[in-house]
Amino acid sequence: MAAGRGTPLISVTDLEVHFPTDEGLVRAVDGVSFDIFPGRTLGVVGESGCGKSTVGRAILQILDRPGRIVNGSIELRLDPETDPDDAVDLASLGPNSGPMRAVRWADISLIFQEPMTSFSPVHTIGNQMIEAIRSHRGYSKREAREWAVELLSMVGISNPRQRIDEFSHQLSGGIRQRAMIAMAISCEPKLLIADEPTTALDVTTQAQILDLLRELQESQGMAIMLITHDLGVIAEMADEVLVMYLGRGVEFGPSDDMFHNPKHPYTTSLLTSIPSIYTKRGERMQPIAGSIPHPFNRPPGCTFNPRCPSFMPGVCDHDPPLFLPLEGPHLVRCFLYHDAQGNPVTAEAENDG
Amino acid sequence: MLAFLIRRTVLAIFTIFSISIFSFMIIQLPAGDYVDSYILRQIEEGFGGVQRSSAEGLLERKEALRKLYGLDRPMYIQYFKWIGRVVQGRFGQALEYRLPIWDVIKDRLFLTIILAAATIVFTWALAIPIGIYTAVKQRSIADYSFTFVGFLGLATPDFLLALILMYMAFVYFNFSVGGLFSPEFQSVGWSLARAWDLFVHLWIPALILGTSGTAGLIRVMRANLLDELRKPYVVTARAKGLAEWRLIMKYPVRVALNPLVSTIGYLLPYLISGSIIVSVVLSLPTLGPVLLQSLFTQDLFLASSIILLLGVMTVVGTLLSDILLVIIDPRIRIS
Amino acid sequence: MTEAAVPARQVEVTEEERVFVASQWQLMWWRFKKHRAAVIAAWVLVFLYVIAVAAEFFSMAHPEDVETSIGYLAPQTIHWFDSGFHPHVKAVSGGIDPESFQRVYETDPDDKIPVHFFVRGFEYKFLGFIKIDRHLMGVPEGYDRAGPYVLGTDRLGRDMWSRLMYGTRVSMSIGLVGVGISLLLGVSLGGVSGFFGGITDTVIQRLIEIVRAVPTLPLWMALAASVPRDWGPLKLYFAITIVISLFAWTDTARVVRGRFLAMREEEFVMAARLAGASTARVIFRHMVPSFASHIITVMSLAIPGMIIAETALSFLGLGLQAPAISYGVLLQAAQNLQAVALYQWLMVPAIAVTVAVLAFNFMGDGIRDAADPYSQ
Repeated sequence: MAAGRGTPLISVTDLEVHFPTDEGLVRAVDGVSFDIFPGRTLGVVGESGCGKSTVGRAILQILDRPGRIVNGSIELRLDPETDPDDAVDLASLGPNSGPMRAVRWADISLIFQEPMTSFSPVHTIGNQMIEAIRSHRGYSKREAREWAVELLSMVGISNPRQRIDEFSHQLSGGIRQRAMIAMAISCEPKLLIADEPTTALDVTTQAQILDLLRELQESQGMAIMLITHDLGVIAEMADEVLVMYLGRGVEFGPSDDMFHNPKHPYTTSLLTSIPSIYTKRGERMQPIAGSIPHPFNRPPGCTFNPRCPSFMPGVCDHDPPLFLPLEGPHLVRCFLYHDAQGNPVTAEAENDG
Repeated sequence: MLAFLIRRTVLAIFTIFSISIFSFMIIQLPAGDYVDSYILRQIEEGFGGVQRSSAEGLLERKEALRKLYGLDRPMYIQYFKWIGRVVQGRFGQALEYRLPIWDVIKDRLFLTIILAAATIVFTWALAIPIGIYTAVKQRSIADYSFTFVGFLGLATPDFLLALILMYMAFVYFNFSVGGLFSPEFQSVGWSLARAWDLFVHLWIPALILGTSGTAGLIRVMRANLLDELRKPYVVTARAKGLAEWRLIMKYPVRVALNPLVSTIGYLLPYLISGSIIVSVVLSLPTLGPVLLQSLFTQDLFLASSIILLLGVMTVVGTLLSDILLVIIDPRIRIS
Repeated sequence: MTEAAVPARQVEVTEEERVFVASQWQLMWWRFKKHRAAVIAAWVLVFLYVIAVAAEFFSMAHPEDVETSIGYLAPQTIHWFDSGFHPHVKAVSGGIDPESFQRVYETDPDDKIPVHFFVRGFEYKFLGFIKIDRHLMGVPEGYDRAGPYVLGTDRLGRDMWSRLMYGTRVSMSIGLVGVGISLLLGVSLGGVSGFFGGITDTVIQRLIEIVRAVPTLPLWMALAASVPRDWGPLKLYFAITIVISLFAWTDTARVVRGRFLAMREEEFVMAARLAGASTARVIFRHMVPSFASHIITVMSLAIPGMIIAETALSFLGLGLQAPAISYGVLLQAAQNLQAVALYQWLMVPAIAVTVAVLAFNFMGDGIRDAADPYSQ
């Protein structure tokens, strides 16, 4: 994929993840493409159930049963600067295979929304950190423990030598998430997937955790994939943004573009549905009309069409639109810009429709 | 944690007290007491020179016997006298056996405990691996077949299972399943050889007794583990790149095992109940057959002693499993 | 953007929306139907209860008809065809083998005793008031003995099949009656516990913990042994049922209490109270119906325990007594290993118990899954 920010660390192309259930096939991820660049932050945003968390897990191939990747590629470049051609397709590796397990935590690690449940309730923090370190680094128990203590103080936990032997339920929410981050960076990964890392925390702690992530990104030079439904967090943190709707990527581009010049009607709706300091007094927020369709009951054509303010009958409810570049690194999936064959739509054509 | 243990202990003592009152009172309910049924049987069997015609002599004799056994005192005095002696370890005289109750039941109590313990070990040894396997391989053929067998095991009352097993052993192997000892070890003192003989005989009753418990425990273990397998900490462990079986054994299995320890508390009452009836069928030298016998002969003191001991056993076992739970679960230990 | 938000276009009514408007019971029913084992189990139970209701009709002989000359007769096969549809059994004659002292029967292949449908037999009151003498199958009048003995006979030559039919009535109904009693106890105690809370709750909770911590069989045995032996079958039946129920109400009580605690805070209860409804009315008109599905689940899972308890007690000789007939009473004959080894059909009631218990367990599981909206 073309991009103006060097070679991507990870390129995801046409990713599809399916969950075959008794009730029917759930297409949790139904065509998503994006790049993550070294040392930069990708924000993934969408309403709940849009498949954004599934994308994160698909990259590590730790999908819940019965989910599996049915299409697409996840190219990981371990050394994008010097050797851009040395890429491994994670989607082609078996979920339990040795190479896949070697990638986990060492190259890509993960933190979750619920720091309480992300740690085992019956093992100490230290036990779990040391295990993570030792399974990827040839450290002795002692060395691993020293490193774990250092990591804990690095993420701003005071008295780390005592905290390391405590259980997660003995820590406060903020400290717990710090400990989780310490564990996540313990093998100095190139990418940290943060799945709603601040949703369960209070506002002050949220800000502290985001600051911590930014600091660590600078000092470690790692990329972050920040999955959230909070556009405020995205605006603050992201360099690139992927907007998802019902398992499909609908818009991907640099953060500035997305916020100041959104292309997809869904992105526009999202932006007008949140309060902002730019909102004029007396101006109303616009909630997005309608509700998210049931996964078994997707509308034909563009899945956003029943809620879309720019709905074009006979076009949007017919064929699915394609996810195509618009200008430079900006991708969009909408018939306002491309027809069903992928040809750019001219201004007159739009007026006709 | 200390509060938890104290609460449990107080409840246990209270439970034992309730059992003792209860077991003492219900035996008082039947019309007539031991002396009645004793005399009645003597009349029927024509023993002891009692003539059917001499009604007066009979009545006199009855009163004398009543006084002798203290049956003429008010009920609560009878109870407190009894419980007072019981606390000192003197259970009184088994009327039918003409022996101290403790002598009648001490060996049987020991064997009842051994049988219950063996059954729990057996139950766990079988249920935990199967529970883990069926949870991890959910919706596999193995899962479905174990579920079915488990249902069958749950649905077959253990004394029926004992009957069926005895029948099969008898018809197909011409082998008698009953008892806990070979004839030559029946009434000799304890030795290593006798202990081994017990061990060899123990597994069949333990199997019979443990079947429904095992089936139940498989379902509990499977359900617990299925719950745990979906938790984020398992995903974390997987994301750390650990091998699948290793991470399952270290994290979710470890967590799913905790509530299992507390199931000992639920399992024990069922086990003790089951062991009574299975012992009757298989004629095992445990407390079950003596209890049944004492109820038929209305031996108040023997029956209530046994019920009390069974109750105490169960409550103490439950208390031990509570303590074990405190030891292994940091969430309870540190709070 | 203008004031007028873009309205969502209405999608036609879908399957999904049908679900939204369905009542709780409809939803449960749909879910239950999907659980195939539970549906089969439910049919098995319908079958068993039909037998329980019409035990006399299904009997081929009177269950108390003693005929020692055919004691321990092995099950007879009904031959359905004999140049056309002429169901019949082969006549047997026998005596005691002088060497082994066992009964030996010989079948006479040419002496055919016909078996007819809807034959006249002993007279009985169907459903307790309709006097009839028809039976589903049997040997017509004019032949010197009843039968056919499809499940053999017991020591006294009584027809095992007919006795099993009667036993089904008693054992299956004990489950229902017992659950009814324990339901009453459980709902009252659990309801009081959850509704009033405080010290009442604490006392009842401790009571539940104590009852659960105690092995029930010894207490059942003791209580059953204290029932006077000279009571009639009906009195004994209710006494034993009550004894069993006394220790089986704790599950119901726990469920009810839990629901009550959760519901005490809910608005519809508050609304009923503010409207001046009495406590009893609030409990029974407003709260109980809202967790009926939980109660049904607990009940269907409690019935098998009752059936097993009755069987166990009667088997030990402490429960129902002859002339009452129940699975447990029938199985007393199977206590003697020698007898069972020679006359295996004495074990048939064990199969009946297992089938009944299995069916209740499967159905209860199905109901539980169907009642719990969050289960998978």
